[in-house]
Amino acid sequence: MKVFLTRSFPGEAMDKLKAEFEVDINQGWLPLPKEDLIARIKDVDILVTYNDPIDKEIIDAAPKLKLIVDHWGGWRIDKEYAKERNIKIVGMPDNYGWIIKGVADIVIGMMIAVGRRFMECGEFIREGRFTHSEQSNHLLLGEGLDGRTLGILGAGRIGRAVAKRAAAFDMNLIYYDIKKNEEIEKYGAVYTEKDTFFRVSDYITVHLSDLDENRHFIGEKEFDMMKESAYIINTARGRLIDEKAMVDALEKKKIAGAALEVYEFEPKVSEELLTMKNVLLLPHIGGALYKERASNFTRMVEACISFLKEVAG
Amino acid sequence: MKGKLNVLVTRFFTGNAIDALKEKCNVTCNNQLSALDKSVLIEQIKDVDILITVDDVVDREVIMNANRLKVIGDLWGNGRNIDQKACEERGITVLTSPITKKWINHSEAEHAMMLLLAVTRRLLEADAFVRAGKFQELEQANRDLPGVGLNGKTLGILGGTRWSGDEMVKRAVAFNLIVQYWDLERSDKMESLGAEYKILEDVLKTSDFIIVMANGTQGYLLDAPQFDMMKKGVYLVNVTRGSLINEKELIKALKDGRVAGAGLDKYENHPFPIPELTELKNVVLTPHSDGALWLERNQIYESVVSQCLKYVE
Repeated sequence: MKVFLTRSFPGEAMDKLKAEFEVDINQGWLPLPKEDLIARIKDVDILVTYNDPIDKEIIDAAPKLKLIVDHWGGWRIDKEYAKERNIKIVGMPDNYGWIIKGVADIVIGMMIAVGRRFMECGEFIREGRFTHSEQSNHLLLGEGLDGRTLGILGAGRIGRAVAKRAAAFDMNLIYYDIKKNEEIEKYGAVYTEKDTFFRVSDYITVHLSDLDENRHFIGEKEFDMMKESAYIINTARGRLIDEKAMVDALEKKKIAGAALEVYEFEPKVSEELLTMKNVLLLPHIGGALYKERASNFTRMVEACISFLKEVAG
Repeated sequence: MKGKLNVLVTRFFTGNAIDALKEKCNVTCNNQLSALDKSVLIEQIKDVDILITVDDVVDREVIMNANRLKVIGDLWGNGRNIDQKACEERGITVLTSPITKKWINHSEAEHAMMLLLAVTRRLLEADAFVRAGKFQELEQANRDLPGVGLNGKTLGILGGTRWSGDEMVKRAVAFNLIVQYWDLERSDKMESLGAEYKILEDVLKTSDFIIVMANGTQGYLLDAPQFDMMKKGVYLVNVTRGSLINEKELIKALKDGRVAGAGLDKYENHPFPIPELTELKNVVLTPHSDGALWLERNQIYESVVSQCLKYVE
């Protein structure tokens, strides 16, 4: 049987796949343009995807297609049409636990790093300025988490995972969402009306859904409301924050700093941010976990092999 | 009408309390970071009414030379540098801050967690990556900056039963880490929070991450034989004494991969790291800054100063 992989996947499972199938792959980490994909899948039995959109046109271009195995939940596959064509879809079950935890973990790291000026600390040492153990209490004073107020914007799975971790650091938790959420309140988070949320938080972490209506949820108005000593953390989607307004807020010291994983025009990062000392800039590493992704790929390959056995048997 | 009181502040302290002092008293404030030389202190203390100190040696000889001394404000509050008996004899009151020293335990544990996150998730490397303009593609981090997750992995704490260990366990379990510890004695508190006691060798052999919080041991806790015992690819963090780790051996282990990465706040050759250490990519270094928090230090300074002023009124 022929398998086409829409991108590269990490780990050792490729050898196993090649042992059982004829394999073609789009090498690299980015999706193929639709026409190119269509051109390569004419004789394909199995498609291995990474949340690629698989619509009617693509399905029709692969008359032998029997199975689609997706790294995520197959959300962008035309499921109804696939059903009509008798194509099985396999997504990774409960896949998201690993990435939810992966992102929540770094949110804590991002808050402490920007509050305690880790970037400056490293530079300080590397530039040879570290000469006395008491210097940091003079030159590199920062902000901790203990007793500070964390505002969690969005009480979804990642927001709740962040609440669990932040509670262990004795942070005071508040949250805002379109409606109240019992589960996040179990960690001690208190529902707070929007304006107050922005006014009283020492750290704000963004965990809103990437919906059109949430675009620029945080803009000039919100930055004006925020404390001058506050930090903003974004690991959700870049367009939730008006990046231009954020740069302006940082330049005018309306807020103390930012830690960002995502950018409005990702991978483009606003130039002004690149030279600011009080920001931590990450290239969307929240889910960059080797073992977890490699193990996902292994499971995907195993799904292909079981299917083969099913069909043969 | 009695004149203004004379205040001596032995060295630089973080915060604004000095302003309140200067308003009401004649203040001599030394500005160096280290402890005041005893001979200088004896000179300066002659006509002083209030002494503000931290860890400076205030022994019998100093006290006997302090003809007017009425109050000592001890910022660190452990009083081991002050001869209490001599103070009693002379009718000198020693005041400390009612803000418990617990803030430093919280701070140390927070800082240690940060070092662990920074080194396993490569946060500073990622920040440098973005600033160097290398963030060009979406999904890039999965190829160029994959990290190691914490979920379900084993953390070994060395030491901590007398200092900060409980705070470390509390924070670690929120990340779904399995926590084990070794120390010269056991800790009910750490165990009730979820840590399992194991002998040193077992902790070294089975931990994915090791955080050193030891205090009472002499000589190297981690030397060549210990690095050999550790799991290959372990991550190491140290926030207590640098003299516990043979830094040259650590560098060897970092270079050959026995240790995958290290996060350090303290160094063998106190206070400096060996220069070679600063050139390695897989290390995160901070300059003895695990207690460099402005708010907490300012609060303590203000609290002690206001108590001293109240006392003499």
